[in-house]
Amino acid sequence: MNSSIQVASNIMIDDERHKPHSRFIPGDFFAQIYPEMLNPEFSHLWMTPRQIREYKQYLICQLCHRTCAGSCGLKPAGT
Amino acid sequence: MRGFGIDFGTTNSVVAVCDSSTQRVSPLLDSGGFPHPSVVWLRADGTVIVGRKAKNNLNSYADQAGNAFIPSIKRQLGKGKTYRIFGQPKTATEIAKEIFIHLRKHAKDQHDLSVDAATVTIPVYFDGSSRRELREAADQAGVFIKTFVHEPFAAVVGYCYSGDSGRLEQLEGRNILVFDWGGGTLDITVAAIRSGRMVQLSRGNLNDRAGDYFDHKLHQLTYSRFLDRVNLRPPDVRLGPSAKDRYLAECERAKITLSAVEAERLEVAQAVQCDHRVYDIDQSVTRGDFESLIQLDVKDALGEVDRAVEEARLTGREVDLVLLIGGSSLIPLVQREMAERFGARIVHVPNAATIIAEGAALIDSLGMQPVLARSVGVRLADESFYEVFPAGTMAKPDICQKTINFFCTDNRDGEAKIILLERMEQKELTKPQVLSVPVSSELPKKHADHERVVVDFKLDQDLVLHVTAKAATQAKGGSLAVHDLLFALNTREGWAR
Repeated sequence: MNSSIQVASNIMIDDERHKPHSRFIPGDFFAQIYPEMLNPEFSHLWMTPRQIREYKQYLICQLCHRTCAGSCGLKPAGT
Repeated sequence: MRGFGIDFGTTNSVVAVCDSSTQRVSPLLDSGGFPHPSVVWLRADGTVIVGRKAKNNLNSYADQAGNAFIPSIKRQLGKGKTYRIFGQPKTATEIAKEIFIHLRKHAKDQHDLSVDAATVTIPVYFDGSSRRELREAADQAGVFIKTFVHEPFAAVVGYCYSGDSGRLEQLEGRNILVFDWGGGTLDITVAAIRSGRMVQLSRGNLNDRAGDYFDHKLHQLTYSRFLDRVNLRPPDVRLGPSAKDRYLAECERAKITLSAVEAERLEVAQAVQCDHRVYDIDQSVTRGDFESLIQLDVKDALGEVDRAVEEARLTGREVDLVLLIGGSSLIPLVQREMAERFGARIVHVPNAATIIAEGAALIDSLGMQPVLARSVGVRLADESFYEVFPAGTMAKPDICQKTINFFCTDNRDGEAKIILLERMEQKELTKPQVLSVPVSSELPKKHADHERVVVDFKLDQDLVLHVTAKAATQAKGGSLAVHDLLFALNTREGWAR
């Protein structure tokens, strides 16, 4: 059966350039392992921009209650 | 010192020998001065006959008990095919072995040459399993395959060293089209020489429509004309069993002659039986008759040429050299049509039937090596490409082997995914092949390293890349064999010789 689903790689070279390993893991996985490091004021210190982006994509939107990554377009009441 | 090259063909096979000091090449042809037909005749008493004698008796004995004929065994290599012959299983490898034994014996008996090791040519589409079975067949016959080389590459090398054709280094930066129309198939390859490496850009082919098929067409045409002329009707008419072989051999001869003359007579003595009478076939055929017979096939062949040139992202004008090889490329209609497209850039190779074997013997003698045509590597989690073997790496088992340590960036599904790619000029060219190996699915410890995966990359002598991987915490790993890597030929060893 033909499929258009693309498999994503989940490996990275294990050398000094790629340490600490935590900087190369997906953002949502980072959030699972290090929930205490997600403070929006400081997260950029230990998370890469890509990880922050990925983490935000998996947050549940308080307005539409889905993982919409801001695409629902809803605004909080009164704004 | 001598170098040997073997063209193991679908229809015919040839060995060529090259004297390393003079670079003089000679093909070892059969007693009639032709390549050896790749036909194996097995008899119930254990006798094995290969070559011209087997081909000449193919139709006479094929229906008789105690005789088995296997033509075109090359097509079955790599498919794991097993024949049942006289109640015994016989693999395609065992049958192919008989052809190597025949070629080796002929070289020893007729030329006092021991062909113990050789460079063997293969079609570009021959994958790892086919190469492995071909190597096994040669091994069993006592011939060690030093390296495989693609047939069109061997043809180009053979051309460059024949007569005053010019040196190989003069083809640097040029695009070459090899049009190889033999007895069994038409193989078209568009290749280029860049930085001393001959690499395939595209290919096209026609299966089953080549010389042997034209012989059958000519047989049908002349036979029906003969019956009309002598007023015989098919239900009462019988073609004697040995007559069909002689008739087909006569058609092959007439087909070859028609490339040089306008008309030819086909004569087969005592061929047709009808009402207790025996008739001789005596029928003339013109070149025009033959060319109208194969017109559509030639049209399809040219369509394949156009398609291959387009796929190589070239125009006809950008093709610098066209080699016409194989017996069927000598047909005047084919030559005219090709000349219309490529004009003076066409080279008519006089030794068209043996040039591939001759090129292989030269490659063997000069020590040219296959190299990776493209970079081979893996895609990393950040979407970047990690090059394991760069393009141009010599395709040898002791050179193409590496062990690389990776870590798994996301083990939540319990699998590490190793995605293998070939890349050329920053473009990923092949469909990725994925190797998944088990890893622990437990959440990694904070501030600790993630699970390590050790991956081994190793190319074997059949040019198959084996990738094996195992995670540090797991007892079981996984492996993958890549059979269709693209290879180029490093021609620099042949420069300025």
